[in-house]
Amino acid sequence: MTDDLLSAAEKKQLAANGHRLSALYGARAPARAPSGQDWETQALGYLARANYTLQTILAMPNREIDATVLGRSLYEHVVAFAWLLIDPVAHRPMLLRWEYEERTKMVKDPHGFRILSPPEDGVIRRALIDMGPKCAPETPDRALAADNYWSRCGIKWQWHFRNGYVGLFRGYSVFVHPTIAGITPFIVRDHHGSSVGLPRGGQGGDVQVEAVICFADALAVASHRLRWPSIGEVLEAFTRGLREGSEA
Amino acid sequence: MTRAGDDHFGRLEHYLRAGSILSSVYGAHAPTTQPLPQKLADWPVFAAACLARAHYALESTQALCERRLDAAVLTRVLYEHVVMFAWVAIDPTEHLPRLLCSEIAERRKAINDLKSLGEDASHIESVGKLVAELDTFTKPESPVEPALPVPDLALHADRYWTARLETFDNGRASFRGLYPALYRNFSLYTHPTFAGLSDFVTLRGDVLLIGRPMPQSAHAVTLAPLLFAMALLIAGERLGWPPKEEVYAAFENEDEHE
Repeated sequence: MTDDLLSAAEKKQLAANGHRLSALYGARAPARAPSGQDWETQALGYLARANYTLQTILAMPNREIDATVLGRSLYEHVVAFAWLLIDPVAHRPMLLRWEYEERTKMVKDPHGFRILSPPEDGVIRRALIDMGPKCAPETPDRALAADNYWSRCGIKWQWHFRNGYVGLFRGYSVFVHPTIAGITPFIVRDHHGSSVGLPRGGQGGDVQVEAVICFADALAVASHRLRWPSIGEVLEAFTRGLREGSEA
Repeated sequence: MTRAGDDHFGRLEHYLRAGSILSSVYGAHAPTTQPLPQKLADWPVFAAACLARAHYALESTQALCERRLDAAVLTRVLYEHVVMFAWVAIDPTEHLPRLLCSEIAERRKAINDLKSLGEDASHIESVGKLVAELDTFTKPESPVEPALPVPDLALHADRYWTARLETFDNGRASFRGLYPALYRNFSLYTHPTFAGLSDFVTLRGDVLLIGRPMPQSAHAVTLAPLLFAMALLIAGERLGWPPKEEVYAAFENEDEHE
């Protein structure tokens, strides 16, 4: 969630720091899971996807509305990552069960597969072979749990999982689905009538800044659980060029 | 739509060209102003804004042709907007209030959700405005039903437009036909799923390498112009622009270059 106290210059700086965080990730992320554990491969996968989408968002500064859609997806991946790493051995089977439930819903949906052949249940089960009996909670509850857990883990860091739910997830859902609110930015009204076309600027809030903050949270979790990068490196990249105390 | 149907999937450059031509067709014909009096929930304003949103998403998917996982997320957004447009265009007088009704319900749900988190529900005012707009359509004795779920919207849109547009069909390239392959399938990339992450994991020998995504199918990027073409054909039928021939020409040009 963007801090309203940030000036335009600081927001621009924070967006630029997103590139630094992405470079830090690129320099420190191992290409394979050091422990060889499946949970670590999954965690690295979440981070790889989050970094990929952060780069996309940073590369499209003039397409804020669609950047919000991607920001929401980035947020979901970061929250899943942060929740997995609270207790990886226990949470990985729960996340796999969550996915099994979702994919089963997809297959059983009478609208889902009338023309294509749905995958058989056995195929889905084999793909998610380590799933347990208990399902992971949905994103908002994962976010709350992550905020609660990581704020008590001793890292000097201000977490944004819960705030991100309000801004990135709930706030931007109007741009994901076809809503009146979501198409309103494409209309400019004046006393002559309505002009329809390119969206008004600023409608996506500060999605680049929010995406950077979200990814910084992910790297802060990584610094604690995966031991890379160091929290000092994350802080340095995240706060470069910002006055003390103004960051997020 | 079969004219540029599923045999053509995977030919990225052709579809990028088609998307670019469709974008020009849209730009040349879409009215940029609507006269007063108007509300967002007036059909001409809604139609123009919904098409503007769809066009914006098309442009994004074209720009992201080398970042196909994120393009897939946006093609899904494009699909949902085009299906909604197609459904509302069947009968704007009845369907637009139903869309408003659904949106009010969703916004109320969001407000309750935010309140449960202890957030300031400053969105209440905007919901009030939506309710007021809905009231202008309805009488108390005839409550409005919400819009249908996406697959049902797609089904209704197919039934209606197949009878009116000769290139629409009920097969894989119909709105309903695209639902599993596009909407459902691309949800794996939208949400944090094991299946979506697997694109970032490569098996080399007996080692799993994680990081850069594997080369992706161009499916998401090639589907976007098809979806937008469907929206433009419906606009041609309902709004009088653009001429259908110009929409078809976007794909015929592609064939000429073969």
